[in-house]
Amino acid sequence: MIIEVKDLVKRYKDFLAIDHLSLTIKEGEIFGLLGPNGAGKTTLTNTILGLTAIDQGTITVFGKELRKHEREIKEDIGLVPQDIAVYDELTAYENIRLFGKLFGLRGEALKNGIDDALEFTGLTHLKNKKPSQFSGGMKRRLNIACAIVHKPKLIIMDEPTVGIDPQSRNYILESVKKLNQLDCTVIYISHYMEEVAAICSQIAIVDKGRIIAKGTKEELSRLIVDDQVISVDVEAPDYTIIERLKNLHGVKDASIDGQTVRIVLNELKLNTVLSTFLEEGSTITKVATNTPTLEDVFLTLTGRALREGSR
Amino acid sequence: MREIVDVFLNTVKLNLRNRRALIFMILFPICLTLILGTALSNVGGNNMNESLHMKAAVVNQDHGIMAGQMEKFFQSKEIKKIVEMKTYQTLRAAESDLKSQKLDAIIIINRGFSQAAQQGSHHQLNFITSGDLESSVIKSIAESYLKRINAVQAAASVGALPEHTGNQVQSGSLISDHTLSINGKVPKSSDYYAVTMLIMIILYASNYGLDVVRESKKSPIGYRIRSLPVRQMNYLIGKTLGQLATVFLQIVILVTFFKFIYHANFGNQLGFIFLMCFLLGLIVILFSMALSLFFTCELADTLLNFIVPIATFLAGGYIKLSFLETNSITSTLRNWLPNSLAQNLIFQNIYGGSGVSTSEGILKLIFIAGCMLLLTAIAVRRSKNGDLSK
Repeated sequence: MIIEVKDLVKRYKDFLAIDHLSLTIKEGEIFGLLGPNGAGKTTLTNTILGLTAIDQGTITVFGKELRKHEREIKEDIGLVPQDIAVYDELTAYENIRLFGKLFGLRGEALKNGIDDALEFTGLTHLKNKKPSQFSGGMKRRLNIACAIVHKPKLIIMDEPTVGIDPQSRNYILESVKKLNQLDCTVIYISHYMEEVAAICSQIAIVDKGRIIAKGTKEELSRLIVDDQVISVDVEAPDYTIIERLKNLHGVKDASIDGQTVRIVLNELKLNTVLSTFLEEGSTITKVATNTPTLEDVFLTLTGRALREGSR
Repeated sequence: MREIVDVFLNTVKLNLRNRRALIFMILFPICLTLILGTALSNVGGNNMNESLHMKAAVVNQDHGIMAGQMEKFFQSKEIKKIVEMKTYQTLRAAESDLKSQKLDAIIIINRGFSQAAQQGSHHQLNFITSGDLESSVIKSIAESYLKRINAVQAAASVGALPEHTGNQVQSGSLISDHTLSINGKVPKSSDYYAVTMLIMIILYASNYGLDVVRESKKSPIGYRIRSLPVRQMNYLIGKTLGQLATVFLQIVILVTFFKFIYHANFGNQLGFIFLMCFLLGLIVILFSMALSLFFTCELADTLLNFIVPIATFLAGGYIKLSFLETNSITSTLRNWLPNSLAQNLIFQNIYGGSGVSTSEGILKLIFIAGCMLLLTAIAVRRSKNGDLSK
């Protein structure tokens, strides 16, 4: 195990941010962490990095207890923060060199680390430019380069693709896969379900400080495999319909997004659902049935849309 | 140690590339000095004797020959051009006028002064002063004259001069003598503002202190740095030293400009000036760090925006007001305000005077710096125990 978290508890006064959470991450995985804002993802990341004091539990990273070997453990971790964390006054090269030095690299190892990080992120030709001259995607790549200069065993990526163009997003996703092929374990935190589904070998869904489901994409989908997901488009949907639908026997979840009402059901027949709409006086414009996706799994398990509270 | 050096060098590099901050820290005091120095020198004219309006009292408790000579000297035309002297019969009356700011200094000729002077034993004049620049000038003039009398007396006693001249030192020759010249003893307005604006801009170095906390606690870079195998204390030390070095570099540039291009009087002991500025810069940076750690960066910023101009005003940085020196509250404040202390020590170093003892002033500054260091260390420890967020 590269990370082993046991019975972790973290409180902020009366707010329970992490609620008796246990988690294991194997070496070589791309581990996806999914959860809405306030679910406890960042707090969990901070505790793994030793940035937040914990109230209860133990954290073991690389087989060493974090509390006793924090500095040693940090030498093999690279963090890609959600916000761009580079100096605008320094060039790309200088930024990577600075963080390389702070990771303890010197001489040839530092030079090689910088060159490899620049090459890996495709920024070699821009190494003498300052981040202010970069596009959003390039800045994100530099953000990654600063975290991999020391060739870490574990990389934590917090929303690394927020606010960038599809081309840069694909570049970063491919980079994550490449890093993983280079024996690097990756913890990938994202709101983008499709990204997590595309690259992660293991996925954990976090909500209210707990892990409510964990497994591969297929294993998670199997949790609601017997369920049916129906999307019903109606004119001027009324929120009272959600309550009525949820009260029906066999309906596991119901939510509304614009003009679309999404229902997860396991026992009920479609015509019962549609009758409920008609009884409410709704005008149905479209009905579709879907195979459950990771988004549906998340919705069913948490009762919340993943990007509901996203930044 | 390597971490501290890396963070230190990076901080200096970042600061030197921050053109906006550099322009503010260097050009702002230069422009203000040029404007204030020029504007006020035109208003006051170049005759600093007139603009000073020095007023002193002589209290003769001795009534001996030497005392009479001293009194006569103080009433001479040449002296009256520089200082308005008035003889008081009682010390109490003079003290009363000093308190009501009608006087800058009282010169007391003690009983037995003449006899001691004639016998060659220890004798001196006593002074009660308001502690301001004018009183320093008065003291300097009186002491210069006393030294001259003593020199003549000593020469006469060994037969180098006729005996009778010992009691009759010609004031005219003294006025042209360097001992009574106020040239270089009183700052011109440009000299005055070169020092006060330098001190004021060091107070604005509080922004550098705030920047340390902002970066380490509030910015994504600080978040990344906390995830590195770098001791937080080493990072803070490196960052603070980097900020201090930047401020010191700015001080060197400003003093160089003022002294060698603007030709302001900074005396001959630049090392002392730099030491005062360094101590003040350290105090300011540590104070702003502690303030932003105990409260928030935003609140600390707002508070400092009030504190800096008030502290500058109290020290007489914008305009010299004598009531600030004589009022007991503002006078006590000035005695402990680091900017006022540093400013007074610099003026004393350049122009002489004895408002504050140099060693006492330096010790006070070191003590304040020590307190600030302790306060910042407590604040850092307190914030470390709290939770860090992005």
